[in-house]
Amino acid sequence: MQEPRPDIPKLVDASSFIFTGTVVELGKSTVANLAARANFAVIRIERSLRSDPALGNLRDRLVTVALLERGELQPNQRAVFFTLDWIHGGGIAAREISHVDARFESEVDSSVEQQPRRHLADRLGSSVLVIVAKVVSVKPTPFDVRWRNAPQWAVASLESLDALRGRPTEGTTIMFPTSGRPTWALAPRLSEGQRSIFLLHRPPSWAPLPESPQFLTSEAFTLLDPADVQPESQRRLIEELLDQVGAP
Amino acid sequence: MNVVRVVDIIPAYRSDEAGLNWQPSIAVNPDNPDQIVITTTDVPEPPNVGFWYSLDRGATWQVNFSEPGNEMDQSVALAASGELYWAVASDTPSKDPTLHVLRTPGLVTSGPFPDIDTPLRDMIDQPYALAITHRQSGQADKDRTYVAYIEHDDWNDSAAATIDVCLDARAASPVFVTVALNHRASVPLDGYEVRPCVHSDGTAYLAYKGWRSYNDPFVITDIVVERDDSWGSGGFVDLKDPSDNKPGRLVAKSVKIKDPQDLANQRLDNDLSLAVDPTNSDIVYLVWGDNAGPNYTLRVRRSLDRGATWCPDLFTVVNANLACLAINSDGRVGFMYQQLVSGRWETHFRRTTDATGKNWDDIILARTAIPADDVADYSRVISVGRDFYGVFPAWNTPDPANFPATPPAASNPNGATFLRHTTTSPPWKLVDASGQKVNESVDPFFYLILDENTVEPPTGLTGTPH
Repeated sequence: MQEPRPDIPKLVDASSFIFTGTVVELGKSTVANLAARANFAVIRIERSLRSDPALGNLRDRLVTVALLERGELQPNQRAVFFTLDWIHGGGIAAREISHVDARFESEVDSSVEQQPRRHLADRLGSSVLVIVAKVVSVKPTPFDVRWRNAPQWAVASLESLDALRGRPTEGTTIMFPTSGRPTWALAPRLSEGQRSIFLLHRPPSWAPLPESPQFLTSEAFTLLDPADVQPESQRRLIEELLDQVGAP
Repeated sequence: MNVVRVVDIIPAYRSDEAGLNWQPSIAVNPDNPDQIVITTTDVPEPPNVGFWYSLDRGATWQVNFSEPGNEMDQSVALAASGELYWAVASDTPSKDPTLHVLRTPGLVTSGPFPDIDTPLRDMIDQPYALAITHRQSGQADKDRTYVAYIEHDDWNDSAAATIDVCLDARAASPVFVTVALNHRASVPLDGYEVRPCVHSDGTAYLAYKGWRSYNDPFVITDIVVERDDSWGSGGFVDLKDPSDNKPGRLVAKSVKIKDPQDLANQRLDNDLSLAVDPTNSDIVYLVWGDNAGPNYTLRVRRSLDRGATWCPDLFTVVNANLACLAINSDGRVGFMYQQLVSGRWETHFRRTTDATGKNWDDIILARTAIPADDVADYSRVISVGRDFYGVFPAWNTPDPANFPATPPAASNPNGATFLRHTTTSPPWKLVDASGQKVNESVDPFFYLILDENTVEPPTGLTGTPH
């Protein structure tokens, strides 16, 4: 019976550490203070396909992988490993989600490369409005003293130039965090005169809009994800993806 | 002769790191101080949550990155049982920040770890974990575990100082009791920090700020201390203020704090710490920061009668933050803070030198550049026996001139011990495994003030006699 074809995009999305490597030995650990276990495999990394940037160049490094199943791999066997980070320091350990034969390496590599596109498609799918627009003004909202992780929203008024999804009203208002806290560190920041494609979402249920009445509008949108602001050069791709994700 | 050790905990395997490493907290196993855990907050990509751990008293460090989620505020506690209690506010920007209290008996165990404080509480801020193993002859040990935090009311304008108390956190199904602490109206909310401390005789104290008004940019707040004489099981109502006979001694009333307020990019109004003397539960020290004078000032005060009365300022520091206190087994107080001096952040560790509480020695652990962004709302110091263990955030240029308490030697050419790759002579740089320059950033620095009578572990960890 033929093996079912692996769902590589799904495995890529579920993994934080993906690499091609060769089994060096089984039942051993290369990590300080992590005692060997029967389901451990020591893998020599040939090519890192996705990894934490803090780990640097991983070529020829050894990683201890906690396998899901013993007996599926043998020494000298090559495979692409889909794993989750576990221990960094005194060695590297990871927990296996799955592995596929090394002949799938280029397909996995391509899927990793395509992940930003899949993420963009997800953000487009959940957006209420996608517009090409110019930022007319940016204003801070009153300081939010309520909690230390407050987004400290700023309000931007947009002049909509073209709508790719949904129908904007005149003077669309969007809010974006200005706080540098880790929660908000990756959120887009806007500046006056900026022209971009904006993927607009409704505010989350928490950290609501500021108290000032001028900000309490049902037409307020938020920008939270780095993918929510795209250069106009991405328009063709965005239109293509919008065709795929369909109407809101 | 005491020995001072300062260690940049980023391991060599993560030498390419240039992350935030924001808001550090620390826990030490009091029965086995070789076991230490530090948490920091970062923006890992893809999302996961980690804690740093050492099994050799801070000589080497690893990070256990196996908990799924997005990091927000967090802190940790290690009981003498060896159990780790990890309070994490996590979830993505599009979801509610939710309190997870996770438990694991092994620092190298892989997550996901079980949530033991259920049902989960959402919309919380600044969780602060504390654990103490209560030993009773003829009975099983019990881990008394506390998680203090601010709980928001559906993001309306109210936020309440709260503590979850569990009298047996190692049980198969631990029971946490949630205690709302403020017995007076807070306007509009309680301050951000709720800080408990517990004595082995069962006396539990906590401090919080009960705001009385906010008129941008000034908070007017009371500094409140509550006490419970039975491990927190009675709701922290055993210390009342004589002015209104309500639970919670008002140590200082109508304290003025500017908020928002930055000092060299560091956000202020985060300084509240409390420590009980392990030799006498009547004695408790408190520090907070305020703007009563022209400059933001940390104030250390003390009670000798279980919080009933408090002395005037014993010690003050201007232009300083990240205040944290601990008291060792000799009743000696340790006080860490970072002070802005001549355009650099100086990390001081001071100890009382007599019983007056007015005289302190001073060890400058670091004198580092100002980061572009703020680095923390809190830090932490812990005492185990006579020793003090702590963590502070600092810019990570590996120049030995930045670490006055630990002059360079053959074994520590950078002054502080750097586990990540660095140059070992000028020009002082962070480098990767191949010697290429890595950008500087903020790292968590572990420090240990080892008493001369403490038996050292065979770790090879370097230190400087003081």
